[in-house]
Amino acid sequence: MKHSMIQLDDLPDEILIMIFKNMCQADTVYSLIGVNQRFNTIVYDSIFTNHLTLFEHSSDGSICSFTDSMLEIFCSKILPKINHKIKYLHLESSSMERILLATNYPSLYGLCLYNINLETAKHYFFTLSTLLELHVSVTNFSDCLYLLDGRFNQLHTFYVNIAYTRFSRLTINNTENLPNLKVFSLSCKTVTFDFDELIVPLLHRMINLEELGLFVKVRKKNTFVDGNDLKKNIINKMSRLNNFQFDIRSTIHIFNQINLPFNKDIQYIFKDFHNNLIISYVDYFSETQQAHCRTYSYPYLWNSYCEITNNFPSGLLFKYVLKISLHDERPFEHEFFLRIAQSFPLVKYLTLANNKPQNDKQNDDNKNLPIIKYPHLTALYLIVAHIDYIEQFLLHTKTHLSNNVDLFVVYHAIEKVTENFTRNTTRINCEKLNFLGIHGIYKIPQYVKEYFPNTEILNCEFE
Amino acid sequence: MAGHKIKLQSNDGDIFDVEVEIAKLSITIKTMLEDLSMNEEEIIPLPNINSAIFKKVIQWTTHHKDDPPLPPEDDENREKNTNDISSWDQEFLKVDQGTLFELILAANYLDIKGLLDVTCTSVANMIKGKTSEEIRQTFNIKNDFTPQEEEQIKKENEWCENK
Repeated sequence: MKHSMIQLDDLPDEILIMIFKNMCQADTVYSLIGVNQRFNTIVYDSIFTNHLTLFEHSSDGSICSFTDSMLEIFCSKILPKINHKIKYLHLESSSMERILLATNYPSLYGLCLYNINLETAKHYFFTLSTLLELHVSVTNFSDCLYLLDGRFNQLHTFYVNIAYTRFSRLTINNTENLPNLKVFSLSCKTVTFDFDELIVPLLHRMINLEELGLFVKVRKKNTFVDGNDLKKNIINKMSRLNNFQFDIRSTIHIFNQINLPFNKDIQYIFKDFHNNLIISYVDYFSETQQAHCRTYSYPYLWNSYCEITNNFPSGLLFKYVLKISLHDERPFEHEFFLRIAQSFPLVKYLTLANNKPQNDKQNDDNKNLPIIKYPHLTALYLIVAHIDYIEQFLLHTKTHLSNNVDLFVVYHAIEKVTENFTRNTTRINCEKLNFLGIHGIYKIPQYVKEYFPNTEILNCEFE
Repeated sequence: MAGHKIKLQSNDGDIFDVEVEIAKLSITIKTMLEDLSMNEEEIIPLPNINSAIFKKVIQWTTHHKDDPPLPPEDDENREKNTNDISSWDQEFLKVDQGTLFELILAANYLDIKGLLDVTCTSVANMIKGKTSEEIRQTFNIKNDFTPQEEEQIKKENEWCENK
């Protein structure tokens, strides 16, 4: 074909904009500001400069800083020129200081902070007192209170992930009401023992709150956090609340079974909330003498759903959930896994903890049961699983694993399931594994490596 | 109607017999045939596309004729994943820059969203990660800043390099 003479700079503005929109804003400004006057004019537009994410995601999903040279270019050349256009910044801890001190940000209304050390970060917050929206991950509940002590008194939206709901030594000077706050979301993946003492009083300060998100695990002495509890302590105290998304898992110690409100009563409590179905169920664990009550709004908006039991309701779809864990004192049968695969079509990380053998185990042929697919699965943790579940996932007559799955198992369990690494009906799925993390053996024998020809094998315990 | 063909003429005079179903992947041609009631015996002129580029367009649309329809554009939620080009498309797009840009213009004129998306993504991938100087070199772009502006940029660069 005869070579065309047309060049990038010959394309009309509308086409260049179409091309640039295929990149994130930070990539666009980094590469194109300073190329020539025309590109500067296009890229200075707010569609490329109003919302910047100034870090990178590594392949495993973790967050890492830009390289030093990239940061220098951003801090010295780019940010001072577009500072008045920037409305929203996503920053990570190691580069936050440089970026916040590089210039002023007069139009900034939203900030997302990742892996932030609040002790360090608080020195820079004085530059951000006009923030309207803040998303942040912090270590302690006190950090959350610290951020709501009046220093961001214009804040109308606040999303906080808390690692532990306990206090730190941070001094909180102000616990006045927060009348400007309209949207609040609190997420904590570890168990809190002080839901009524810490979280509920904080919510009571938000007197004009309209939207609330709560993702918490609560440990209480006698009663669950159920629908009635939410009604009495939260909904009745927030007259403007019109959107309440939550997933609350409460655990109590049991000696006797408890009377729970019927599901229809819980639904009635939430009748004034739009588009919300409330799912609520209780699991009793006799071995540990515990009861877990799970109450959540549906559609479910969070990306993880932990401790799924056989009581998990069928027919629901969790289209945002990437991470699940399965745990029960009763065995998981094939039908259960089918439900899980259907309800969590995008699941990437699956952990299973169950030491009970399956009752309804099929033989290798498994002709009567549908083969289960997990098309997006990338990590499978079966360290504390009975060998029946390792077999469940590795038999190609039961499960179709996609390529690039990382599997974590105990050596003797996988040795038994694969019949000392010779079994044909587990070979297809084993050959697809990307990584095998083995516990319980010092040196990986050669015949094991041969059974997993495409797999990196590591002894996880002794790393 | 499977197999039924129409005649399309490039701006350098070549006439192409193209299956209607494939030609209709172009919203521009589909509109001509359906809304403007153009006779299928008539030769439809394509004044903005030469025969070499049109051959490539037909090659792409033939390969993608059974693709499911693309979801509507949603700028807010658009996934900025610039690596998602299929291996066939990657092979198809191993062309010189000029041809790639002409394909973009042709896809835009013919309103073939899938081809426009993949060609724009391909150029975005060529841009991503490069400095402004590398962009000028890669795409043969003239630096048109005034000497004063250039001096200012140099100073800024020196400051970066000396840090």
